[in-house]
Amino acid sequence: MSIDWGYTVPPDQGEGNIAHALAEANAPRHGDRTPKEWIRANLFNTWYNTIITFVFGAVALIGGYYVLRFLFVTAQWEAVSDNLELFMLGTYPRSERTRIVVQMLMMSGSVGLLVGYARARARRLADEAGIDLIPVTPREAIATYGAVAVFVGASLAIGARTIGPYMLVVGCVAAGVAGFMATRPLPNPFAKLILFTPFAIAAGTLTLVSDLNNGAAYLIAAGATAMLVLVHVVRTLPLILSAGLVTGVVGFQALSGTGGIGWLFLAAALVPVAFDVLGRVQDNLPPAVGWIGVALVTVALVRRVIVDGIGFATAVVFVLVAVAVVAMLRSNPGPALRIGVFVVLSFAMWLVTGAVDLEGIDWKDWSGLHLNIVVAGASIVLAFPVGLLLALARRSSLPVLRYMSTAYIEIIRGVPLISLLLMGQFFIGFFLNSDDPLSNITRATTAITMFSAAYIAEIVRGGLQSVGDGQTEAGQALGLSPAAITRLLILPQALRNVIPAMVGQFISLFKDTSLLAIIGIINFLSVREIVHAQEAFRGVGIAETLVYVAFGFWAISFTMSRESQRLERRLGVGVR
Amino acid sequence: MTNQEDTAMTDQPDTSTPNGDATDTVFADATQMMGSSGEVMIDLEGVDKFFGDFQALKNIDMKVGKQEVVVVIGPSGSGKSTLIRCINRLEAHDRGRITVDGVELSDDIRNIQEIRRETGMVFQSFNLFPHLTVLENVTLAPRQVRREPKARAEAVAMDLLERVKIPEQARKFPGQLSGGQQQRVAIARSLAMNPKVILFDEPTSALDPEMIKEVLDTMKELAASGMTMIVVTHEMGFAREVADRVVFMSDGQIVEVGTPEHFFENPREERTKLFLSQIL
Repeated sequence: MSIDWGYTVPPDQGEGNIAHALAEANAPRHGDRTPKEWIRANLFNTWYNTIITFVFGAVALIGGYYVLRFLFVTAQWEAVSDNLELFMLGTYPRSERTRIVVQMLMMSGSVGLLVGYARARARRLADEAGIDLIPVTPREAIATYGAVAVFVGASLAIGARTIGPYMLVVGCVAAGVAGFMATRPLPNPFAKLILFTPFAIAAGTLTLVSDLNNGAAYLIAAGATAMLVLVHVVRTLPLILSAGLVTGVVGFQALSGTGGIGWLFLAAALVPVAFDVLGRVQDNLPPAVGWIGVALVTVALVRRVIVDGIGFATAVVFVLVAVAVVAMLRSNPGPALRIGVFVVLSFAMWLVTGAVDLEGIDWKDWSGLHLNIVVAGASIVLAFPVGLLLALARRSSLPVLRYMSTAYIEIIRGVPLISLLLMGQFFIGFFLNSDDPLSNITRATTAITMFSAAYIAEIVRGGLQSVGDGQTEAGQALGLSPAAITRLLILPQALRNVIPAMVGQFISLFKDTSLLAIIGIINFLSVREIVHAQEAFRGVGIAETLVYVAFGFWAISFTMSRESQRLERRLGVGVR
Repeated sequence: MTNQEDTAMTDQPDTSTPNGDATDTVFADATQMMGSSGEVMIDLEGVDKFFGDFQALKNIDMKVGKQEVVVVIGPSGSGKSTLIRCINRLEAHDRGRITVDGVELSDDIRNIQEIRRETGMVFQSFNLFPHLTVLENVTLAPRQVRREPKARAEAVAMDLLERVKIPEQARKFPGQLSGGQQQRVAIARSLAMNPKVILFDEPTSALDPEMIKEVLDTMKELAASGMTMIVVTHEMGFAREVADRVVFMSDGQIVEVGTPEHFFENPREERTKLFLSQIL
């Protein structure tokens, strides 16, 4: 089997050692063998291999027969098919399903844009370096997404009673494709129509499915389409990245509402494009612009505080303003301008989210598979930076940081997750006011984040150790600061080295969300309890629901694993 | 230690002989500069370095003048690499004083950074940053340390890549280049900070034979342009041709110092003769 490195090197460019190795790795190793020759060489080449082939072949056949008979003959899938929405959304309020539709479409579009961003960036680097990117083959796509496709397809086939779920799935695929295509040049004018398909399908879904109707949803879909067109016309990397991130955040807010610190995430999502624009005009900007911007924000902020009193958001913006002022006083124009821009962005997004003022669906109503994905996603997003900081602290030269980080990591890693989840329920309240507003789900996410961060820290530490001392020395010899050496030289290489281990941790985190059942949160697995409490399914289809849930977890985990392998190869452009 | 110092002191009158007129000058110690403007760029005084109980450098006294090219040779384990790694504080010396362009190395990180900014280094194993393109490798330090705008840093970097004769590789990754090309990128990278001195730590030892010449040629051009260089190498041809002074080290000590002519034709010390007989 030849190793697929994700790109090939034309023979005439095979200059360096790596290029040679790549060219060799991509060369066919075995020549062309007929299936018959392959079977003889691999299954029947020795007498004991022949016996092994027969014994295990028989076991596989018998096992396969029983599995297939169960799946297609004896199993009674009604327990699943009658309760598909329950499995997916649990106790989520039916009347608010529009938000789910909007969220899924936005998230799909976001994924499409971000994949397109990664692909466009890799292609630009590869083009400049004279490396050919191998296009994603259908076979690779099936190997990666086949499992999830089968899960979604089987769910629809047995459980979809109306056209709505089908439309939703088609719409999500269309949104993903449209997001991806928006990042590429589309020479054929008709191909540009693809940018409008998610909008058409979303509108169709909302109109056709009679109990789903919401003017705001149409508006959001139209806005998203306008953004896709803009991205496609301008098509710079920072804009694509920002568009992808903003779409994701807005998609999340379709469900969570615009309260909380969503505005901070929105501002962060806009950073790539804002800094890009800033970089282009920076040299022509008089320094006074920064002061005027900060002054305007301060005045507006003070007015807010006088009207509404000081709150969390105001406090955060005040801190940002203070940081910007300090940076500007130290006359460091680059960083000061950037912080200034972020202050203005944050404040603007705070005003925007305040103006939209969309009330969220209470966390306690989120459940089913949707909840598993949200909690896993949130925990991954939060645990990664925490784990990173813990790993860096553990290698720090400051003893206090080192000991505290080591203690945290070793204590958490020695404690079962279940006990952490239970502690989260009972202990976090001790540190808060008696009118503790935290929901069970927030506590659970905190516990899972704390738990995973300790493991991620150890994984990252392994990665940091895998980068040779020569890199640090070269950075030192150039006069780079220790922080710059870590950030620019060590971390990028270290993280790339640990992608497989990291994704393994994320997969285990995703599966661990089934433990939410312990603290009474209804998730994909514990929906079964509701199903089997129903009159019709008391003691009926217990194996079937288990198999269905297990298959769902497997399909998503497997896809994450395959995607990580692809990602590892992609990020390997030029390295090795 | 005091004994050696005394010897050095009594030999001081030797330094009053005019520099550079005798081609086979033999020096009493390494503090006399050759082929330079007379200003001191690097000054080591009584430097000791220990790795645990092992003493890697024993009371090293050495001066390197501006625009001087000093080649350090010696058997492996003699402390050559440690010597130049102490100059930019990749290793901390335990005793003595090291002064680079008038700034004395101390534990103060700002002090160290200042010296590192003025001191380029080229490593045996290149130590290019594999995740960055060639151009990014060269522009990283000017942009991060000197806060130069991207466009200017890239223009300077392209000039430097032109100078080491690989401008067409700018957008490639180090892994795509041959060893010789990588080492030339490393030289361009160290030049990008416009250093006052460049330290070469066996720059050709990890190269295939056919690539050594291109790197040595680059170094010769650099020397001809007036760059102050300290070169640890086993390339005797380079030492003979380019060096203003050759320093022979053994067991952590400077054994013999001289012009290449003296050094290769007429070595004085037994250890030098033995070493040269083994490698020539």
